[in-house]
Amino acid sequence: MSPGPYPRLRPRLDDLMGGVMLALLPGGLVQGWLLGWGLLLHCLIAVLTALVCEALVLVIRRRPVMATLRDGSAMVTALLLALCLPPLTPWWVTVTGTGLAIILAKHLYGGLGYNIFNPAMVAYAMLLVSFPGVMTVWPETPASLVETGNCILGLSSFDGTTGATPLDAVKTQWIQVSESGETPRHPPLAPVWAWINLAYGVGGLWLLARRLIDWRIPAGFLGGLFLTSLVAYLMDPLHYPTPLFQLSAGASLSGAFFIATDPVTAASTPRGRWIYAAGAGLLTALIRLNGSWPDGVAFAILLMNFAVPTLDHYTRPRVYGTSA
Amino acid sequence: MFRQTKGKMVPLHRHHNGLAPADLPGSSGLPPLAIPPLPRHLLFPLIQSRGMTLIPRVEPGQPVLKGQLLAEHPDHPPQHASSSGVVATLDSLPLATGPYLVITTDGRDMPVVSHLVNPPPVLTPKILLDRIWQAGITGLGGAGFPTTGKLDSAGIDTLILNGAECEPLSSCDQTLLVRFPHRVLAGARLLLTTFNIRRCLLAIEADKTASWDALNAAVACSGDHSVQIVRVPARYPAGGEKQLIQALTGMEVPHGGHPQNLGLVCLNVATVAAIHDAIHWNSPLISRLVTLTGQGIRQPYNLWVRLGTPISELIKYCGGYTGEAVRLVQGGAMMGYPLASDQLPVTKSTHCIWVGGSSETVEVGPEQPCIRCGTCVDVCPAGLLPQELYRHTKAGQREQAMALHLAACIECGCCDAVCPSHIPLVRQFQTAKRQQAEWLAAQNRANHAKTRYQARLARKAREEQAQQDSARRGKEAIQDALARLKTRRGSG
Repeated sequence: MSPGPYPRLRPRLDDLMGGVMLALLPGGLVQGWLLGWGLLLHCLIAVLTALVCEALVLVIRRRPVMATLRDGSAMVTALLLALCLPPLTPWWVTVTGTGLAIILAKHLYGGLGYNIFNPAMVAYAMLLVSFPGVMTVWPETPASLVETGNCILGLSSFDGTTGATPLDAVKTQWIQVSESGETPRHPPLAPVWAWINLAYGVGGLWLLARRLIDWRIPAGFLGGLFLTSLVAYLMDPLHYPTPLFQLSAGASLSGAFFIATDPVTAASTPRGRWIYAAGAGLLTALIRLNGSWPDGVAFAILLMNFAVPTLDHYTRPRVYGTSA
Repeated sequence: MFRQTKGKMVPLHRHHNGLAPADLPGSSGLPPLAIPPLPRHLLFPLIQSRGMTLIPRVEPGQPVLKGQLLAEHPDHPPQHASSSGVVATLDSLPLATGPYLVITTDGRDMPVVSHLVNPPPVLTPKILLDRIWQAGITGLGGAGFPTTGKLDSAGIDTLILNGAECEPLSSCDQTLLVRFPHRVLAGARLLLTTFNIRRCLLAIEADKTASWDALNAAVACSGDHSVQIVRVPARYPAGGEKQLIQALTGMEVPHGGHPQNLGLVCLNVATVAAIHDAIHWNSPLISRLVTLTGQGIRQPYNLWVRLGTPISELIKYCGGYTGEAVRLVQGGAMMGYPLASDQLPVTKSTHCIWVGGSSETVEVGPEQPCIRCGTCVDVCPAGLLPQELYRHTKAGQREQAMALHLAACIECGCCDAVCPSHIPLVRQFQTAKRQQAEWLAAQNRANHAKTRYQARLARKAREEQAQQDSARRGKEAIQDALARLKTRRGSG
C-alpha cells in the first residue's frame, strides 16, 4: 500500500485533456456552423495524423504507446491546430502541420512536459510562413460539404468569393481610406467572429469553473490585449479599431482560454503567469495593430514561450522563512 | 481578518496557499467521546521516533502497577505502564520493527503509589521541567519530540497553544477542547506563571464553533484571561507549526531555525493538558485521545485510549470494519502513513487512525509526466516550486534542489493532492531530504577527516623540524666544543 497523501482533489491528466476537448465544443460548433464543413474535416484529419505520428514516435522512443495516447494531449494539439486553419485548406497542409507539431515541436524536445513552444502554434506559424497563399484564404460564405471536400482533397479549386477576415478588413480599409481621404468606419464588433469568440469564451468559463485552467492566464491575456488596444484606439481612433472589436476578432478568446493556457509552455509561478499572459496579450495587439500577419496570437504566444524560463526564474515565490 | 479577543482587535495574518476545507475529505460532525474497555495486552515499542531505544527497567514476569516506569533513556522521556498487570515478554512482534514490552493486564487497574507531592509547593522552571520529563511527556501533535526541549530555552515571550487540527480528518484536539477546556487552560497557566511568559494564544480553526464556545465559557468561569482564544482560518495546513505562527504573529520561523529564535514556543493543546495532569493529578502520560474515523469503520469515535492498546481493539470498539474498508492509515489522510497491521499499538504520537473506504479514496493512478501546470506552486504553503524540486531531485541535482530550499518542505502533501499527473512528490522530497542530510553528514565527516589529516601532516612537519633542529643544535654543540678544545690546545 502506498504512503499518503491520499486525497486526489483535481482531475487526472487524461480528464484534464478530455475537459479541454469538451470545452472546445461550443466554440468549434459555432465556428463550423458559421464558416463551413472544413473545420470538421480538418479536425478529423489532424486528430488521425496526430495519433499516428504520436504512436510512431513512441514506438521509436520505446515508450508505452497506448497509455500515452490515452492522455489525450496529442488530440488537443491536433484540435487546436485544426481550429486555426481556414476551412478550405488542402489536406496535406493539415497533415504537414500536425506532423510538425507532434514530431518536431513536441517529441524532439522530449515529449509531453518538456517542449518549450506550444506545438500547435509552432505548426501554425510554420504553415503560415511556408504556405501564406492557402493559409489566408477564408471564403465569404460557408461552402457546401461536397465543395469543401473537393477543395480539401485538391480535386477542384474554390471558385466562390473569398473574403478577408475582420482583422484584415480593418487593415485594408485603413490603407484604402488613407489614400482616398475619407473617414473610416470601424464596426463595433468583428462580424461573424464575435459569435465564434463568444462561444469559445463560454467553453473557457466552463474550464475556469472546473478549475482546469488558471484564471490568471485568460485574465492577463485579455487584459493585456484590451489595454494595449485601448491605448492605441485613444491615440488614433480613426486608424485603430475599438478594444471591443479586438476582443471579438480573430483568435482572441480561443487564444486566451485554450492556447495561452497550455500548462506545459506557460509560466508556472503565479507572478510569472501574469507577466506571461499579459505579455502575450500585449504582443497580440501590437502585431495586429502594426504587423502584416492576419492575426497575432500565434506569434505572441511563441514569443512569450521564449521568455518563460526567464520569467519562472525571476518570479519565484519567496520561500517561507527566507528573506530572498 | 481579525482575531476576536476581549477588548482589542489584532489583525490576523493570512497565508493564502494550502487547501480549503471544502476540498478536503471531512467527517460530518464531531465523533462522540468514549473510553474503550481495558485490553488483554498492552504493547510498548522500545524504539522511539528518533531511533532511540528505551532501556527496560522491568523484568519478564514482574508485576507492574498503573503509572509505573517501564523503560527510560537519558535522551528521551520515560514510558510508564498504562494499567496494572504482568510483564509478559520482551519480544518482537511479527510485523513490527524492534523489541516491544508487553504487559498482560490483570483487570484491576491498580495505580502505583507516588512519593511526589502534587502540585509541588514551589514550582520553579527546573522543577516543572523535571516533572514534565519524569511524566514521560512528548509532543502529542504527532512529531513526538520531548516537550522539555522546547521549554528549557530562556526568554519565551509568547506561548502558542495549537488547537488547530493537524489533519483534516482528525478531531481529537477539538474533542479535548470541547470536553476538557479547563485542563488545557490550567496547564497553560502553569507554564505562564512558572516561565514568566508574557502572553499566550490558543489557536483554533474558525469553523470549530463548539471549541470556541467551550473555551470562552471556561475562561469566563475561571475569570483568568491570561490565555487569549484566537480563531485562525480553517485552511489546511492551519495546524502546521510554521503556518500557525505565521497566521498568529506575522513572523516566519527562519529557514533552518526554530520558533524559539523568535521567542515563541508552540505546544499542542493535548501536550498542555498532559502537563496539567502530571502536575495537578500526579499522572504520567499513559493515555491520550485518538480519533478513529473513515468510511471503513462502522462508528467513528474520539477514544480516550490507554497507550499500548492494539489498534484492532479500538476498531472492534468502533463496530469493526465495514465492507468497503480499503486502507488503514495512522495520522490521517494527508500526512499519514499506512499501517502494516492493526495489531500495532497506540503510541504517544498516535492522534488519528483513518480507515479509508473505497468510495472516499481516489485510486492513485500510475505516474504521468509532469506538465508543469504549476498547481502545486499555487497550493504550497512553504512557497516552494514543487515541480522544479521534483525535476532537480529526480535528476540528482543536489545543489539546485538546495538552492530552491528543499529543506523548507513541511511534507504537508498539498502538492500531491492536486497533481494531475499523480506524481508522488512528497515521497520524492522525503527521499531527497534524507539523501541531502546523509550527504551533508558525509561532507562534514570528510571535512573533519581532512582537517585532522592536515593537522597530522602539520604536526609531523613540526616534529621533523624539531628533530632536525635538535640534531643541528647537537652538531653545532659538538663543533663548538671541538672548536673550544682546539683553541684551548692552541693556546696551551
